[in-house]
Amino acid sequence: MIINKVALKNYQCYYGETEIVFGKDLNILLGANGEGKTKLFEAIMWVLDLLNKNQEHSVASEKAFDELEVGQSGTTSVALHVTREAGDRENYIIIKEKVFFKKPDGGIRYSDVEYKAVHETLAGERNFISDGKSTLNDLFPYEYRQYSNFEGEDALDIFDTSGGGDDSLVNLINLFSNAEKIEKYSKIFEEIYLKAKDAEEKASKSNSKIEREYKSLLSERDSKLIAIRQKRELQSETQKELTNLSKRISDFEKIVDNNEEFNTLNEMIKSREDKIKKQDLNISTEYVDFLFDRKWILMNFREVLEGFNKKYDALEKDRRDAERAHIQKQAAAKALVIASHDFTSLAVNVPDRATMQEMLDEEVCKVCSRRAEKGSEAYEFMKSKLEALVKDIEQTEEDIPELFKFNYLAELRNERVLFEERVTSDIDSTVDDIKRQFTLNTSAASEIKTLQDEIDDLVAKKSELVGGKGKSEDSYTSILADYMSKLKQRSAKEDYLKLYTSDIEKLKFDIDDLESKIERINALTGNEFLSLSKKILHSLSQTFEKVKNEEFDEILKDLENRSNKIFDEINVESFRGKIKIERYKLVSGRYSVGVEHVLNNGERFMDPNKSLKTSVNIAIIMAVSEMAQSKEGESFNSYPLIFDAPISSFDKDKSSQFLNMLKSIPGQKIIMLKDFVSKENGVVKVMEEFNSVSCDSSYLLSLKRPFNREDLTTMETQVRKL
Amino acid sequence: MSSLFRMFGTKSPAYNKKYKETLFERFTIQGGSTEKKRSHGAFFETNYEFLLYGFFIGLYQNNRLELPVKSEQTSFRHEIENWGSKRHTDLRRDFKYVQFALFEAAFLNTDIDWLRVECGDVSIDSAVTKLITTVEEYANAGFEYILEKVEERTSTPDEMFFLRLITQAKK
Repeated sequence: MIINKVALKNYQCYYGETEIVFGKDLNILLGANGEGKTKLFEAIMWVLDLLNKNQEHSVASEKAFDELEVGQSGTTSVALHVTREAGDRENYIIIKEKVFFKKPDGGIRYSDVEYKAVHETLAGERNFISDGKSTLNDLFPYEYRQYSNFEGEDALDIFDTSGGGDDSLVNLINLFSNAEKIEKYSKIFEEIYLKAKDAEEKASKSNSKIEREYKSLLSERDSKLIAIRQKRELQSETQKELTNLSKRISDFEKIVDNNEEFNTLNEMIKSREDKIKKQDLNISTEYVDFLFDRKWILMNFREVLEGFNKKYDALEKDRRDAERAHIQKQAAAKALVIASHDFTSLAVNVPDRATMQEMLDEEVCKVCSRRAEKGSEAYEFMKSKLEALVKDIEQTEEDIPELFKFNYLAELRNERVLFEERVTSDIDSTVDDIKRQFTLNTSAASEIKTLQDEIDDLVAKKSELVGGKGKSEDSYTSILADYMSKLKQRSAKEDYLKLYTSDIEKLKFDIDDLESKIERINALTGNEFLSLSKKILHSLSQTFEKVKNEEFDEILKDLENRSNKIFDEINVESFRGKIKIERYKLVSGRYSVGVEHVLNNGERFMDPNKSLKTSVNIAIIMAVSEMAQSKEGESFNSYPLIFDAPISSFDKDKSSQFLNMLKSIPGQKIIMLKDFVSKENGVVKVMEEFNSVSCDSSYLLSLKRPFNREDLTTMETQVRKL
Repeated sequence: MSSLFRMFGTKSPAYNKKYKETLFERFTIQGGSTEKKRSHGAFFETNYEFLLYGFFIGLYQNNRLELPVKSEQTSFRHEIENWGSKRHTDLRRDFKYVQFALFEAAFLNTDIDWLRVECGDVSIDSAVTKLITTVEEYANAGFEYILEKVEERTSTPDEMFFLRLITQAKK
């Protein structure tokens, strides 16, 4: 939307009818203090429905009212002539109007506000619209409107650049990104998911026993949900308080005179904090994992191992003994069979089988060195002995029964060897390993304690520095006490925050547990389909959430780049640092956007001067506006930005530089400035320096002379085009 | 024919049902969110880790406790041979060593006439069952002790608590 003209009628110091025509880019209204700039700003705010309600009641021009007779009435109105885009031939006029009457007692009475609009079609036809506000909302939505006007320099800090984070930027980014659209889907899915969940729960109420259990699970879950919500509120409150405290503490720290010493102390603290982090890594307390991974579980196993070995060896020996005894017993039985002569026979295998065969072949007994021809008694004896030997050999192979059918113990031997190789040395070193870990943990913990003590000392020194900012003894003591109490409060709040966070974690865990029980019942009662749908919807809504965050981050990066570019342009040749814009998650789980002014090395810019701070804010506002207009693929309406005295802290050079830069950024800007004007002998003049500023339109606002500041009826602002 | 250790490995020890909720579900992670569960004292990754823990406490204290009747027993149906089988990662070593330690301890403390088993006079199945019973009884005594100590405590058990129980378990 572009404001082409503002038409005022009897609006405060704008007596009679006044028209100011604006161009599509930069419009500047100059005026010294008290000459009507802010009243013009307020007039525009009034018609944009952004004026504070209690400022609204006395809008009429005192001079116009003064001219009325008792019983007569007059009109005060502000009309904005606007088009959707620059050069559009379809016009809209938004009008806000009040009728004022002079009462018999000389007092004023106002009618209700009339808010109306006129639509001028391309053909020049005029349609009157009674609901001006809805036309305004259509042309210039409230979401944009509320971030388009800035009264005074401090109003620019809508993003809380002290790093505290604020919702304004989140809202703005959402406006300019698709994130908001995605959020809609995400919400729809969330709603459907809740409905599916509800349906699933209803369907589970069939069986009465199950129903009872189900009900009690649901009520337990619900009460935990309530508890979690309460904790979250506490958490969010504490987080806010903590942010405020941190801001206060950093304010205290900023006022320290001796910056160098203060910074040294900060560095010393930081180096110790880093060391603590390193020592923290040395501490390992995953003792349960170590039981298995470092075999600590075998710490007292030595005795068992020895016992096992002893038992096993004894068993093996028993087995061998038993086996030997068995063989001996069998052999003894055979010996008895062979011993059937009246003399002691040679063993059955003496001479051996080959010798016997040789003697038979040669027909000689080589035992008694006598011939033994075939058929002789000696020959037959040898032949029968050989047959007995062969039979004996065959019988030994077949007949002696085995004692043991299985070899379980023997097989165990290999596994036992393998195991002993693996663990024997570990068992012996386990106790040492445990001791070593404890020594390590203890020494790291004591190192951390020493470092922490040192940090405490350094913090105390820092406090002294903060207290000793060169004021009187009294204020020294009170500032120090205040600072110390803030530090204490912060640490207490941090403890609370940790507590809430862990409580919430516990509750979440319990809720998960209950949910899984509820789900089990749902599955039991045949609600798989609903259950499945619910899961799908849930994962969809999570996906949307993720996409939304990614989109959001992309836009933040873009915003940061653009802001820095503009920031550089505003502050050419001066030391400026950088703007850092980041999304971060609050402990409460919500997201916030933080703007920080940092040095080029990434450290926070401590105590920038006001004009630098203002240019940070303006850079971001301009970047947001620029982004809105450069959005591709959509016809995006631009909206005017209206500033009242935004750069009071700038010097003239910087002001002209700034205004020229502003001209180059697309979009309509209407700026009221007290710069570039001087008063000579009561006459308001525009300074020469203003000639170097390029803009679409410029006006000088000044009160008609002479006037009496004590008498409002004498005040009348005149507008002169430059 | 399977080896004795392998047959032992095919079994899944039972435990007293009452410890399912009071100990196992409370102190093992079993797929939930590790961080969440850890903050509640669940430091054991799996059921079998907790069973081993109970067993070694019973063993080191030399305490055995008979299990109640079958209907009051339960098991997580995870055979010993599969304990830690998925753990061949850089982070965790394999569990074979602890499986064999379990076997050795059971072998040492179970009264079986092994020569008769080797002869075939006593069945190998009954011998393995007896070994498993020994494992179960030590673990059962361990669990009873752990639960007693947990109940004595006012705060949620931490890792130090579990380490201390086992270092102090030696008789």
